[in-house]
Formats: sequence, structure tokens, C-alpha cells
Amino acid sequence: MQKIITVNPDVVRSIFIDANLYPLEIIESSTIPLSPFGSFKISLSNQKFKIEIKLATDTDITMEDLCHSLENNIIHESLRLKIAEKTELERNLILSYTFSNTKLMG
Amino acid sequence: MSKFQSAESYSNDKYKLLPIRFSEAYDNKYIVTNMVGEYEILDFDIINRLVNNDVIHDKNLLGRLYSKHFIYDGTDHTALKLLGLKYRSKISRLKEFTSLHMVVVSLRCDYTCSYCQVSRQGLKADFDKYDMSIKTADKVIDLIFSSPSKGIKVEFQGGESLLNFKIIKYITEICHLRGIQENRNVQFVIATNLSMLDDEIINFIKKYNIYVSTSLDGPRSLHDRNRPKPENDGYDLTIKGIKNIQENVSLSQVTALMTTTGRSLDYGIEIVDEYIKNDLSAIFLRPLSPYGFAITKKQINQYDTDRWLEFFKNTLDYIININKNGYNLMEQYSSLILTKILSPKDLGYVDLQSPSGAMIGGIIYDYDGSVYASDEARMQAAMGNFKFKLGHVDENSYEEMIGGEFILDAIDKSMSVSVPSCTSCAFLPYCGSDPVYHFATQNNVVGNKQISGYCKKNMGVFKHLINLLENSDEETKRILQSWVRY
Repeated sequence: MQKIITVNPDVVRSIFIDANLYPLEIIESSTIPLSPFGSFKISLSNQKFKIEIKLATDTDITMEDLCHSLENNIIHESLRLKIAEKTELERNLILSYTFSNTKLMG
Repeated sequence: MSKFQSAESYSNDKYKLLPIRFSEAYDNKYIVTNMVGEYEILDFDIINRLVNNDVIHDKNLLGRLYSKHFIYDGTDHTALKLLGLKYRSKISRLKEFTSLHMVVVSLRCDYTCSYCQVSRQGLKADFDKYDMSIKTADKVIDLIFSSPSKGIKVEFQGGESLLNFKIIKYITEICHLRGIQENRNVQFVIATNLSMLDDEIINFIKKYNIYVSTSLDGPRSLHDRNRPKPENDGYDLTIKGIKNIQENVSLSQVTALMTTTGRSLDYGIEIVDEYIKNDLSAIFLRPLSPYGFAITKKQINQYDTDRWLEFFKNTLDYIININKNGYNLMEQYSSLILTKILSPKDLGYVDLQSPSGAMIGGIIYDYDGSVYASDEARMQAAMGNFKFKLGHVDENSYEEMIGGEFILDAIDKSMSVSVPSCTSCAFLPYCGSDPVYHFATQNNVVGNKQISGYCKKNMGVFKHLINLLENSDEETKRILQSWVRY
């Protein structure tokens, strides 16, 4: 069975991200790798994402570490989205070259 | 008109980005890989410049980025075609479908290993009940040859496989003939503890060019403790069997595997020395099995992954030093991964495949005619989970077995490119997915990779090997490169 983390409800921090700069999918994908270390509640108001962070009780990292990692992840995920968008055409062409003239095509 | 474009056309901001992934590798350095796993270690600033089409001042780096197909000129499709060709090579095994067929010819065994996960039966157990019959073997052979693969590997397993040598002989002889008739390349492997080896079996191995895979867990004290045999002669019989095959068949016809138990973790050097002492040319530092009791103690399993990684790194260092001193000993897990990192080939190791190697890479026929998607699926069934059972030779056709709803769904979900976290991981071209492992540990065929021992173990190995390739001395790099199998 999957282990369910426990969080300390008294240790809460909120960070705010400009929704004009980053889409929701970036915020969500930035939190996924950090899920063993805390819980993340995302809400939107006045063009700002509010990320309410609760720290897991059985982790060695601090709230500052967690916030720092989240902010870095947002930058990384943003760059990854740019790569995906900028290279979509090339990716599709490479895949078409891969599968053309092979029995892998249906 | 010149045959070559001017140097200026390759410079600075005229490039266009190709699909890449990046992840932190070590010490604030990032590994960037393309779709086929060619890699470069970069600072984050450079990645940022690349993605934003900024000028790359380092001309050598710019050249490498072009040659490794991270960028291209935006018009000539040669780079895209070459990437397509390499990607096709990487996944070419898919059109072969199942090529490894594991046949459990007996569940009986003369050992009493505590780490055995397959509910082995004692030597004196009813062989009518626990040995494969000729009737079942005939159906297994038909199923093996239902696979479209041109290259077929039949691997006999147990319990102790040689306790039912009669069936090994029967299946080998018929598969050999059918291979010739159907123009298929059939190879055979016997996985055995070697205690039953005799002259008849040696001659048979020689005649059919059969590879023998045995278990050698280390020096006598460790081997006999890990793999107890009531007569206390397990180590002696294993060594005697290895020597017998090396002297009477060939040195390369026998290979050994070790299973890393908790007590093995302090004996890396002694284990390696035992392999050298017995003229073996390869060792496989296999991790702890995640099945059985380890599953119910998941936190301990995570702890074990850390300890295993420490064992792996220290023992690998020792193996590299052994190679520097003139003895060629290859570590096989590293070899499988280095082949993925440094060549367009994939050796098809079942545990590191996406889509999953279960069923696509290998299929296992149990002694009683039950068919499973992988050896681990058989282990799961022994623990009461039959989700990965594909069917039974008496009841199901080949098409029914490979078309089962649960297994097809599991394979569909095992495409790492569409799995959260995996999809953006730079190590994806080297990794795989293991639905049986994740179902066993998380009750979910995809699994949350943030808490996955599979992910933790493989990421640890990938990063260590990349670090060695980048930051070690030239001789170490040469040794690691020599382990790539083309």
C-alpha cells in the first residue's frame, strides 16, 4: 500500500505566483516531485496563484528548503514547457521518420 | 556552389532547438539528453540560453550540440532523419515482440534459500505435481513458436531446473528442430544451481550450445549462508560445476549471478574476488528483490535502496581497479546501462524497458501450465496476486494471452514518455518502467515515482555512471566504454 504522508497543520507557508507569467500546469507539475515532502493547495485570485504549503512531519528538510525547491521547479518546468512548444514540429517529424517504412506502422 | 555551408551558418543564434530533456545530475550540473539518449553535461545558464536561442559563446560546445543533434540549422532535415533512424534502432525490439521464453520445468529444489520467492518445493515433493509434464511441454513449445520473433531464447528455470532434465532435453530437441524448420534462431539457457550436473548434461550442453547461468553469491561462508543446502555442499558443488563447464565446454559457456542480501552488503570485495578466483569474466550486482517480505516493510525497502547503492558504488570502484590491474571483469548492470548511454543499441533487458519488458520482452511458462508476463509476475502469483497471469496453456490461445485487458492496460500505462515526472526526466532514454514492481509496492501499475525504490535505484546508478564517465581518469573511462556491447 502507498504510504500517506502526514503534515503539520501548524507549519503553513503561502507563496504567490503571477498567473500571467506561469500557467496552472507549470505550477502543478512543479509540485509533483515535492509531494513526499509536503502538501500543496493551489488557488487563483486576482491573477495570482496562491500555493499553500504544509510541511510533512517525517522529513528532514525545512519549509525554507521546500519553498526554495518549489520556486526552482517552477523555473525548470517553465523551461521544459518552452522546449516542448518550440520543438513540437521537430518531434513530430522525427517520429514520422522513425516509423515510416517500418512494420511498426499500422 | 560549395558542398559545405559556411562556418557562419553554424554559429551562434542561427540554430533551432531539437527535442531535449534536462535534469540535475550532480553538483549543480545538469544532464541534457536528446530523444535517443545522447547527452551533454551543462550549466543551467547554458540550457536557458539554448532554449531562448541566445548566443552560445563556446564554439566547441556549439559544435557538440550540433553533432549530438540537440540543435540544427532549422532547414536541413538530415539531423531529424538521423534522429529518427537512431530512435528506430532503439525501439527495434518492439517489432520482434516476445523473444525471451522462460520455462519453469520443476518447482522442486534441493536448496532451501530464504530469499527464494517462488514457493519452491522440497526435493522429495511429488514430481507428478511439481514437475512439468510432456503434455504441458508440448503446449508450451507451440506457444513459444506462436511468437513472431525471429530470434527466440528459451531459458529453463526452477525450482532447480536440472531435476527435470528429461523435459529440458525434450523441449530443447523439439525447439531446435522447429527453429531450423521455421528459419528462427533459437538459443537456450539453463538456470541451475549445478548440483545435478553430470557427463550426460555436459554433453547435451555442448551439443546444443546451451548457456548455463548459475548463482554464486560470494565466498563459501556467504554463499552457503545465503543459499543453504541441507547437505552443506552447495558452494562446493557450484564451484565444481562451473569448473566442469569451463574445462569441458568453454570458459564463456557459464555465467554466474549474485543476489545481494542484507548480509552481502559488507562483502563486495570478497564477492568480486570469488568471481576472479573462478575465472569468471562478468558479475551482475543485482539489487535486493522487492518481493516477499520487503513489500510489507516499504520504508525498510527505501533504506535498503540507499544501502544497495552504496554497495554498488563501492563494489564498482573495486571492479574498475581490478580491470586496471589487468583482469577483465565486466559489471553487467553497468554494461546494460552504458550500452544505452553510449550507443544507439538497447540490449532489451526486461527491467529497463518502456513500454514495459513484461510480456513484450519475456514471458514465463510455469511448471503447471500457467503463463505469466514476467518472472516477477510469477513471484507475485506465489504471493496470491494473479493480476499478471496471462492464462493457462490448456485453456487459452496465444492471442487470448497477449490480448488480456489488464496486461494491455498495464503496458499502455508503462510508456514512460507519458508518465508524470518520467516524461521530463533526462534519464528517460536509459530507464524503463516496471508495472509488476509498482503494482507490488504501490498497488498501482504506474506508481508514484517520488516514492519508488525502482526510480531511486536507477537514478542513483545512472548519475553515478554519468559522473564516472565525465569526471574520472582516462583509464576508468576507457574501461567503462569497453563494457558497451554493440
